Amino acid sequence: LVLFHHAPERSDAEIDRILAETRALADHEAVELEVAAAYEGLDVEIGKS
Amino acid sequence: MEIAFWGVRGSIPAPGPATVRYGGNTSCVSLRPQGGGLIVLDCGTGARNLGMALMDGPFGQGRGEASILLSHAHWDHIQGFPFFVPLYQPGNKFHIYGGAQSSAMLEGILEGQMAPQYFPVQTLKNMGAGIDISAIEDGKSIQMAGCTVRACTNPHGRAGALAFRIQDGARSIVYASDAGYGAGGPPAASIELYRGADVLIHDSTYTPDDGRRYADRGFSSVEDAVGAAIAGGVKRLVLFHYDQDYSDAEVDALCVRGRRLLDERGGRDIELSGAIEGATLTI
Repeated sequence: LVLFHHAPERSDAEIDRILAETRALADHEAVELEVAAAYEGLDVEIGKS
Repeated sequence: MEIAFWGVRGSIPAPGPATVRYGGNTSCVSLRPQGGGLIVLDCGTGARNLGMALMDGPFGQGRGEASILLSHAHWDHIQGFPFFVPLYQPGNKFHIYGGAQSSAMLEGILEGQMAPQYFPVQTLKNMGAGIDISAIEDGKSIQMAGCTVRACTNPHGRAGALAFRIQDGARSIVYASDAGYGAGGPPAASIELYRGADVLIHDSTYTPDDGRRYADRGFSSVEDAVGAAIAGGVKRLVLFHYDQDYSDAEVDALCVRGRRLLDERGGRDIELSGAIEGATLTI
């Protein structure tokens, strides 16, 4: 899950906190989910074994 | 009078690590005249931060009143308008002035960017605050916030862009964003508008080299800005509306170049600074 389209007034620190909360939620639900918060310049590679 | 810079970039917002010092938001400057009140110059994306700051005062309680002067309607001068929060507070009053050929045409332009294809609020009428819109005629003086304001059209694109002179008692500032003078330099009427101003905030999109390369875009280079400041005999030149591709280091170099050009061309007594998002200047 890549969090995207952050509100313009959200600071970097606030997005860090939202990311941490989202990861905690995923842990709580015991789902296997990688979570990232999209940032300008981020590259995500998929399909590599 | 206090001048505050909320967006100093030209054409398109340019956020990122290379522009943190001068800032990435597009054109927006606010003026607090000595007698109180508020005048806003252009509503580029910098207007969002101005709007949020204003909500701490009377504008947050629907008791605010301001005049908004729009140089022209290119995106980097109106894009922040729909995101200017005090416009959504019932009770606030805004008097908008711009350079279209008629008030109806200016209203049509501002209404156009609220259309549902562009923005979910759909129309100016849904914004909440009281809004009136007037076209300004070149050379005609109007009164606002205890100041006398006069406009003059500079060459820029198809419709031109207004430069504004705001006279607050003995103090005067001129805002001249987006000016593509061509080889002849500023027209006589523009020089007259700039004459003896305490502060001239002037388009300085390009280095002299880039200015020659992109001469057809209707912007000034730092060399054109220096020429305008010397021709008008102003006291201080503030460089403004930097190209979106210029890093902080490149804008630093633009300021150094401007200083050198002033010194070489008879403008040694003219102070110079580069506009910085978030900075204020008191005269």
